[in-house]
Parts: sequence; structure tokens; C-alpha cells
Amino acid sequence: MKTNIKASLAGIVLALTLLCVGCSLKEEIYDTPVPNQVLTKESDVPVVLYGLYGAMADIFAEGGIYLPLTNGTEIVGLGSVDAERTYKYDASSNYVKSLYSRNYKVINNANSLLENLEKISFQNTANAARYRGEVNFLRAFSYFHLVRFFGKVPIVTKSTTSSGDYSAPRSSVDDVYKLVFDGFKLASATCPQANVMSTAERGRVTKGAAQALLAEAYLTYANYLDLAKRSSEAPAYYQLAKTYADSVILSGSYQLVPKYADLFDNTKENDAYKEVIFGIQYTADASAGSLGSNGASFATFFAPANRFKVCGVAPDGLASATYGITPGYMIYTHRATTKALTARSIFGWATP
Amino acid sequence: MNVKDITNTYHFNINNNATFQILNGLTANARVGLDYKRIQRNMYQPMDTRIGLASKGYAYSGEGDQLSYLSDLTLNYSNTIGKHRLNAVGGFSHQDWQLRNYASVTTGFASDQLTYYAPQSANTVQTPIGKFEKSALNSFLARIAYSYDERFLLTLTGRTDGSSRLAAGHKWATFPSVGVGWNIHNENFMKSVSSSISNLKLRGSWGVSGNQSVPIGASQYTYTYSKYSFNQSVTTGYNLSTIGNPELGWENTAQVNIGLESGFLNNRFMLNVDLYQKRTTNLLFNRAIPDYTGFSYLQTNGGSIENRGVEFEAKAVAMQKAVTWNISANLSVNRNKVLDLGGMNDLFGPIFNASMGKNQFWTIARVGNPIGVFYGYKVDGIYQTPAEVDAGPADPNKVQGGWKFLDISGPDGVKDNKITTDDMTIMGNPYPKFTYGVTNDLSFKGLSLSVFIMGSQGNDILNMYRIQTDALTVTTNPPNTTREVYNNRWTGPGTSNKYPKPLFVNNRFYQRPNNTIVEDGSFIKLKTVTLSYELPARLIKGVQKLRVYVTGTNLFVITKYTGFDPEINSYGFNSMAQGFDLGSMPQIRSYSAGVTLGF
Repeated sequence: MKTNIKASLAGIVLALTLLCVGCSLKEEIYDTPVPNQVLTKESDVPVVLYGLYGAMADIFAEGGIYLPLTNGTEIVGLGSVDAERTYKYDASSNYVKSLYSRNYKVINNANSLLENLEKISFQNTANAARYRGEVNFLRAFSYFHLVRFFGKVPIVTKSTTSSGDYSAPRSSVDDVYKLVFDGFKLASATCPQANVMSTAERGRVTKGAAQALLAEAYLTYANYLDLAKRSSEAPAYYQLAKTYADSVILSGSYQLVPKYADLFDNTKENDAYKEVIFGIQYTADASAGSLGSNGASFATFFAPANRFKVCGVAPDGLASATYGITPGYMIYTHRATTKALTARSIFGWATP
Repeated sequence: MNVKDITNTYHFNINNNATFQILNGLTANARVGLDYKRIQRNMYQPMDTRIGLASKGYAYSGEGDQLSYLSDLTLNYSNTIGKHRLNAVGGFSHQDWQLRNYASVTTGFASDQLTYYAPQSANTVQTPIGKFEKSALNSFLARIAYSYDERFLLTLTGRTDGSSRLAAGHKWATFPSVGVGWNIHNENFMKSVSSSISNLKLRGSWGVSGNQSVPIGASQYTYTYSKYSFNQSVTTGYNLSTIGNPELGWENTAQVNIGLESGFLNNRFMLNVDLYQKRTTNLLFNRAIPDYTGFSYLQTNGGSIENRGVEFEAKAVAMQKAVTWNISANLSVNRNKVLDLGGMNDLFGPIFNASMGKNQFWTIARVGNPIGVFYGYKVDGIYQTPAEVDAGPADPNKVQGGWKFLDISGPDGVKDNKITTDDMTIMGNPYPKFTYGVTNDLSFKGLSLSVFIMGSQGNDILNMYRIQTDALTVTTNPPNTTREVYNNRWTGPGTSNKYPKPLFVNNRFYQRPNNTIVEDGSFIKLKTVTLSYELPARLIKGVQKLRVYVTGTNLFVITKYTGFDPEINSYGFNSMAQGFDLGSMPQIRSYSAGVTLGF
């Protein structure tokens, strides 16, 4: 009997070892999302699209766009003297580097999502077109930042793979602007007007946002042509800027908020969207603070320390004013964050 | 109330072995092993602690499971025919690992009574953190050991390993090795000298080994989380965090080894010498890629590194009468060199902020140099006079009483009389020229003394603490400084050529890694001394053995290093972060005494 038990135990051990000869070595990932599992069908797209919006918000988060936006000298690190303030910074400055890298992070994610959209079959083709429009918008938005801050930059329209040689040349400013125009134009054709969109979708790209940014991009490019002594090419782009700005104005989707200060008041956010054409979204809900999306760090760092209810600072939160800033820039930085294109700025230059 | 912090570890280990005799000399061996470890940590910070006060009671509960499973099946064959002896093993093995962690933090308790036992009574639950990983390794292996007449030895091994961590199609690799040995002392012609040469063996080997230590998921594209709010409601989205590498495969190390073992006068004196050369190819590393890719690093294979060295080991019985005195000593010399970095010239090490206000690397792998040498600016004293400042290279930071940075190169590879990142250069080597150890064991009757001395010669250390203590800058968080630095700071021409004058700048060291904190890390250390006395057996009835001893460790060190302890390594096995002294715990000096009883 004893030997039988021994023998059967030995048999079990043998069977267990033999069992594993065929054990698979396929790697399963359990605690991290991987694209080939989470992005395979139509209903998967929003999550990755929202991630792209999140990546865009990073451009405006701490360390992102502050330096170039405020032109260096405007930043006064309180109690210290640093390279950025005294114009001693170069590409190794984290402010410069992260502005560049965070925009390209958006671009790579957009490229990857665009490629994946091609692989997915859509029941709802209007949705598919809208997604494509939004992704193109966000990619163009990043290139628009890059071309203004860095001039010639590499144009990347395919997602990064491990087999790249990673030595893309810088493309001409004209080519980058062409990509910017194309992206905004596609979005203006496929995204809905703000006034027909549900409130829950507030924050997503609209036709008006695409047209307004297109107008801004044409205007900037026309000005660039003027400065580059190519004035003969400029008028056509000034005209395009006017055309698209007029489209926004005449769409009836936007109107000015009567009191300018209300744009910065957390408690009046809903009304502000009459004027805000495209803004980086933050929640003013203090209880959502732990979710990592409360408050624009721009407002937190730059608004005076005793300022409550300022855009992007959670209602019971306090701006910290780690940095001083010339007041004029707060106007440009508008609702909730740094860069929100408002009807006011469109009207501002369209009717001088 | 005190902080409660309790960690429990439960460890289970089961091994089963079954051997089947198939034929005479041929057996099959099946083995199954299971190892399970569970770790639980519960902590509560009551409201009179700093953390507990800020969060009105802070409870942490974490648990982790680690499960590893091993099974192997081998066939063993042994036979001896005349002077031929053969042993062969072949088989298969499978190992897998599973790791799970879960931790949650709750804060805001009504009282300190319930602590972590009732997290449901807390006001706030932080998002719990979890982790779950699986990996597996399959291997086929074979080994043949053959010897002829106890004189000639041959060992052939081969293994084919498959790892789940690597990319599909690149999971498997084969690693052969050959070893030969010649027991010269067993030759006939040695018989005449066998009384003086008791052991003489020459051996040589060549083999390839593999390394697959990449993080789980390294070959795959992965997403990370990002948050965005639409209409005031926070939404989680995914965006890419790593690039998939469908060609990620094994790192290989080919090693050639030649050794000589010798023993004289019945092994009273022994000397072993080993020479080796290791060449690692298809190095697994994080290649830095340009930011326009949307990533910073690519986990990839590429490049090669060479290690060459020689090891000596000598033993002698100096006395063996009433007093016995054994001496053993070893000496290791190793040189490593980067041969290739997958087409790149430089690869930078991990990024440190190190209180300088800027994240930057301090080490570099550069073709033709050891891996992970220190990299930064060179400081050549202090600008003593305004004339010296004017004569120095263009540098926005130069000031009388401040450091004189050396102009080493420029954008075209020649000196440009400007201090820029082009002037960064290799400024130290964390690897020693040689390391050594000597053990002396003396005994007389029941009394014995053992002394172990070890040392390292020619290695440099980055004393990162000095970034804080030597910077002499006013910052928003003023650090402490040392008396040495403060008393010897520059206060006027000729007062100091080492420590600069205090400056009102936010960023320590002008955010420039530099050689002022590179120090000679050579040392000799009295590592352990043990004195013991063993009483004669059966002195006390029923007690077989009674030994009393005192031991001291790290008793003294001779070094020029100014930090706490030159025997450091803050970043363990990271070959790109050797020789860093930053937050490493100095080796403690300890004394202990004890009694060993045997019944």
C-alpha cells in the first residue's frame, strides 16, 4: 500500500512536470492597458480619444507652456534668480524641453490613434469622421504651438515604432503650417457646432473651435510671411483668416459675456461657454481633486495667493502664486488655463 | 498614541522529488516546487503625529502575494567503463512567477481607536493601487561530463531558454558552453614531484549565457492613464507610455576563461589564477530617442561591452604546530569597456535632480570607455581677481570668488572659449583598479582569532551629499553646510581655491554636474575580527561544545574619502549608477559577543 501511494505521488509529480512542456510563453499584461486589447472596436475609441485630450492638457500643466508663453522675463520665481528669468536658458531648460516633448507626445498619440481608426470598422460613419476630425485638430493644435515656438520642426505623421532611425530632419515652416491648416480644416468639416452639442460633451472640439483656430493660424502665417519678406504671399492668408473668423462670428454659436471678469469666476463657468470657443478643461469640483484633474496649474502658480474661485482653482482652493507675472498675460490666459480662444479675441482683431 | 506599523510575512515552500530507475545507470528525475509568500503591512498614524494630524488619522493597508512554481524533468545517465567516466543529463524545466500587490490608504478618522481595522469608518478613501504580473521561463538543457583516467576532463553543456518577457519570435535562444580540464598532477611524469606539487590543474572554458531581465511588458506597446474633464466631470483616458519592440530578444555574454589551480606540499600552499574575457552583445538597454518620437526611451538590444580581468587566490598554512596560522588572500582586477552602443556614441545614465533644481544625468557610456563613467564639467579652482574673470572663457555664471569652469571643447570639437554643454567631459571612473581581501586565521588550543581586511584601490565616488553642503547658495529651502566649507570659503583673493564665495542663486552648482564632488574612493578596511575560545569538550557534563566569542565588524577604515563610508553603492546593480553616494546607508560598526552551546 505504502509503495502504491509513493508510486502514485511520483506519478503526479511526473505528470505535473510533463504538463508544463507545452506551457505558453505568450506574455499577458494584466495591470497595464495595451493597445491591441483596449482599442479594437468602435466603442473603444472614446477612451483613447479622451487620453489624447489628457495629453493635450499636459502641454498646459506645470512646466509646460509657461516659459515661452510668458516670454521668460515675465516669470519671476519668487525669492530666487533663475536662468529662465535672466534669459540664460537654452534647450536644456526643462521648460523648453517639456514644451517640445509634450506637444510631440500629443502628435504621436494622434498618429497612433489615426492609424488605429483605419483598422476599426465603424457602424456610425459620422462618428468615425468626427473622431478623425478631433484627432486631426489636436495634432494640428500641437504643431501650431511647435511652429510658433520653434519654427522649423520635424513633421511626423506616422506613429513611432521601434524600427525608426530617429533622425527626422526639420521641415520647413511652410510645410508645418500646411499640416496645421489641413488638420483644422478637416475638423471644421466633421465636428459639430457647439450649440448643437450636448452639454456632456462640452470641452470636445467643435466646428467653431476649428474655424477659429484656423483663422488664428492663417493670421499668424500671414504675419510670418510679412516678416519673412514674402509680403506678396500674405494677403491671401489674411483674407482666409478673415473668412474663417467671420464664419465663427456669423455662426450664432458665441456671444460676449457682459462682464469680462465673469470669465474667470468658477461659479459662472456655464455662462462663460457662450464666449469661450476652445479652452483647456479643468474641473472646479473640489471633490474631484483627487482624480488629478482639478485646477489649472497655471492659475494656481500665477494667480495671487489670496485669490479664490479663480478659473481652474478649485472653489475652496487657493492660488499659490509661486511666480509673479505681468497682469496683461492673465488676459491672454483666460478661462481655466493658459490658452483659451475666446470670441473676444476673434472680435478683438476682426473689428479693430 | 504610538504609530502602529506591523508587517507580517507568511512563507510556504513545497518541493517534491520523484526518481525513477529506468535502466542501470539511467534514471529519470521529476521535481515540482511551489513557493508562496504573502506579505501584509498595516500602518496607522494617529492624530498626534505629523502625518496623522494633517489627515486626521492615516491608515495604510497593503498586501502582496508572490507565487513561484518550478517543475523540471531530467534524465540522468552515469557510467564508468575502464578509465572512461561519463555523466549525462538532459531535460526540461519550467518556471513561472506571479506577483500581486494591493494597497489602500484611508484618512479622516473620528477617533484613533479603530485604526486600520475599520477603514470603512474613514472619511476619505484614496484610490487603491494594485499590481499583477506574470512571467515564465522554459528551458531545455543538456550536459555531458566526461573524464578519462582522472586526467582529462570535458564538459559540454547546452541550454535553450524561452522567456515570456521577450518579443514573440525572439523568446528563445540557445546557450552552449565547453569546458576542458587537465589534471596534470595525475600524469605519470608528475609522480616524481608529487610530494612537492600536490595539485596542478589547468582548465579552460568557453560559454555563452543569456540575460532577459527586462520589465514585464517591455516588448509591448502600453498605455498609461490620463485625466481630462468634460463638462466638469473627470474622465479617464489612455495614452501611450512605451513603444513596443517586436524584436526585443536575449542579451548574450560570451566568456572565455583560462585557469590554473596549484597546490604544493600537500596543499599547504595553494595558488589559483583565473584569466577571463567576457563580451556582452545585444545589450538590453533603454536607448534615449529624440523627443519628437513622443517617447524618451526605447527598450532595445544593441551594442556590446567587454570585461576582462584576472583573479588571484592564494592560501597558505603558515604554521601548523601548536599554533596554526592560515592565510588566504585574493586580488581581482577587472577592466570594462564599451565597444559599441548600437550605432550611437553616447548613452546617458539615469537622471538625478540631486537638489540642483534640474534633472540631469551624471554618468555616460561612451564607446571606448568603461560603462557609467562620471560625466560633467571640470572646475579648475576659483576666480581670484577681476582680471582672472575677464581672462576666463565666456560663461554667464562667472564671477570673482566663483568656480572657474574649464573650456574643454566646443560645437566643432575644439575649444571655443565658451562654457557650454560641449565642455562636459568624463570626470571620474567608479570602477576600482583592483580589489583585494586578506584573511588571517590564528588558533592556539581552544583560542582562535580571525581577521579579515579588504580594500579597493583606484575607484572614484560621486559624493552627492556635497551638492547640498558645498553649494553655498541661498535657496528657497536653505540646506545646511559643513564647518569645513563655511570656514574655508572664498572671502577675497587668495583665501580659497576650493570653496567659492556664497552666492544668491537658486540653483546649486549652476546646475552643472562637476568634478568638485568626485573623490578618490580607495580604501582599506578592517572588516571583521573575531576572537573565540572553545572550552575543551565535556568539561561540563552533558555539554558537547562550549564556545564563547566576540566579533567586531567595520572596525576601522583608511581612506581619503570625505563621506561617511567609501564602501557604498546607492544604486546596487545599475551599471550606469555605480559609485554614487546619495542616501546610501553607511556600513555600521558593530560589536557582538556570543556563546555557542552544543549538547
